[in-house]
Amino acid sequence: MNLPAQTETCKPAMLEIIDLVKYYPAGGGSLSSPQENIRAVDGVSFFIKEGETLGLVGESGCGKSTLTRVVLKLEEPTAGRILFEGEDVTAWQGRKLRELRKNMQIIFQDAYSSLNPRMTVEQIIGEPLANYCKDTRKERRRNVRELLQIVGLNPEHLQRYPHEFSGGQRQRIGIARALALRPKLIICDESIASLDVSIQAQILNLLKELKDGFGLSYLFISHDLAAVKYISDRVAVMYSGRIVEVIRAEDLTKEAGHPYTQSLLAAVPLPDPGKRDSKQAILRGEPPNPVKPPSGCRFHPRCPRAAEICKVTEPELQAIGPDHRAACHFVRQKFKL
Amino acid sequence: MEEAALRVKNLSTHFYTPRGIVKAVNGISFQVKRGQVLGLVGESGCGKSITSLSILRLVPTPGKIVGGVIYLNGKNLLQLPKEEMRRVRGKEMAMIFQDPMTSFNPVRSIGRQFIETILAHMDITKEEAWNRAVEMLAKVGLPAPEKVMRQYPFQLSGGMRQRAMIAIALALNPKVLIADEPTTALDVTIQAQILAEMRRLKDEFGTGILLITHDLGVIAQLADEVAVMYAGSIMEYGSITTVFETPAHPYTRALLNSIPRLDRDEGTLKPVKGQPPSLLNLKEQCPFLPRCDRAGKLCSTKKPLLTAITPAHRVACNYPLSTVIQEEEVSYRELACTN
Repeated sequence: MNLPAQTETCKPAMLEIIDLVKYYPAGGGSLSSPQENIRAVDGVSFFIKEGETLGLVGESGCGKSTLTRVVLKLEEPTAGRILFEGEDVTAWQGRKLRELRKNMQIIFQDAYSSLNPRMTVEQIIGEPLANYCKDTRKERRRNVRELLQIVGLNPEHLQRYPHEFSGGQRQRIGIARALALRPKLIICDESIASLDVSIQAQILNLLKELKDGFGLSYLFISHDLAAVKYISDRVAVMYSGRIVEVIRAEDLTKEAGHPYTQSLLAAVPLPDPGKRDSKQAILRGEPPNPVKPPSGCRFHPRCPRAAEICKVTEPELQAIGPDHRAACHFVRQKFKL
Repeated sequence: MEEAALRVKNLSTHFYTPRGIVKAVNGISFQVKRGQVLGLVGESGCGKSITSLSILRLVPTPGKIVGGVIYLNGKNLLQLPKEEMRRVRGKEMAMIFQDPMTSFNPVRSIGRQFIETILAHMDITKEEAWNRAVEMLAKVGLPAPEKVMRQYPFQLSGGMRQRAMIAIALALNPKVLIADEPTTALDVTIQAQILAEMRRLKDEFGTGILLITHDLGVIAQLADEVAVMYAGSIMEYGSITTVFETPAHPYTRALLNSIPRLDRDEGTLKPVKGQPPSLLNLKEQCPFLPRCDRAGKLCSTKKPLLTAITPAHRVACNYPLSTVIQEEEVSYRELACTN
């Protein structure tokens, strides 16, 4: 088992996940057929430092969303530990969990379905305040107004309903609600995916500003590699329930060591007609079945570099450079550690 | 000489709602050349999907095509009787949608739906149709096409469904393929597979493709020409390299500046401020005016028309970005003001 990571200042990480596993039953379980599991998250470890943004990328079905639900303690992990500011919160319940939730908030993908259409903006943003703070109505209204201003909305729109706002504005309401309790960590689960191109940049910049202004840490989950590179300090790449690479965002395009990360990067269509690559190596096949992941390295059936060892032994996530780890038998250490 | 497979001129489609007229498409013109891809790019609500539905004459009520002509191989589609239009759809012009799950019938096998399409347009036996379908499924890179024929849509992954959709669309060798956000619902590695497939099929069949998407990356990788749409109008139109490398419309430039890039360090992104306008009761002014950082006095009174600045590059802006040096840009602006 891995030991809790220490950041340079010996301060515990804001969030640390150790060997986290989440299985869902998938039929079977009788005498004739053994219980089968969907291995949504299968041994994931990472940490997020204070004030850091960790980007998490991967294709649909790789376990990103299950991971968020487990980290937020909306679901119980099958195994593994979750540490928040150095404290093991995996088994926390009741009042302690309630206090924990104050510090961990989420911004969802679809701001439309995550806002109650029958509540006004004041009620929506005020709800977490009402749940946690013993403030008067007047104080709360002042707080909500301030939050609206922070996220760039007109504070006069307190009494409006979600349908009166555009997609980008609704996402801002979702952000204001997440900020209301001044959390330390915000999980952004595909928070810009359903927005228009010109609005995505507005929200990305807003998230960046808020992070500096409030000293937030983000777990930024997205399938958009360019957006992840833009907002993150470090990027973790997930494939079939496992983390296959963790790398500094600024090194992502040049130093990526895992063949899967490289294929993902190569598959992103660049908005530059001068950079058309007709001979680009296109990743064949599709992500594996999470009930029966391939033996050895889970990426080996699609990997251009796969050899015999990859079918047998699953590679460890090993350090190959500063802030750079990859799980591949053929990735070379950049220097002696 | 290049011949246009599809020519759209001054197309306008409006929706007559209780709250007023929604001008979804306002007098747009473009052409799709044989064996080429025209990218139609724009944000949601800019009218790009209504454009494709208008071409197929499938505009939902209360929408109506209120003006313009659409020529497909010299035939004006807007004057065809309904029966004949039905023969055009699928045979001469096919469409693939964003989400192949909702465009397939979930309770019929892929094979049955495939054969149904072929038999509706061709006078051949069921067996011949089956063989043709299998051949097409193999052509779009589906492994075990015979098996796919017997499967139901839910048994296929998203990428496989989209491949099957493309196979059906191309089975009758249409002159024009309309692809509305064909890869938006797919993962990036699967998207790359589908884009490569479309590129290959276009070359093999000589199909003209109208590619509708909000993804500038997809456009840059696949399109030969691009039309940038905003609030129901085309703002800029030209060859893909010209428009992406020397955009003349402030909106195009703003869009290109607002996307995070993998291939360079962009510093801080410059988002387009504000939001797209409501298409309800559009005023006679430049629709981009409220968000534009170059707006001049003409913009609030005159809606700019799409005008050629070079033979292969057209822009609808009163003060287009100059592709030459700064001083000339200033004099050009003054010139435009005095006109």
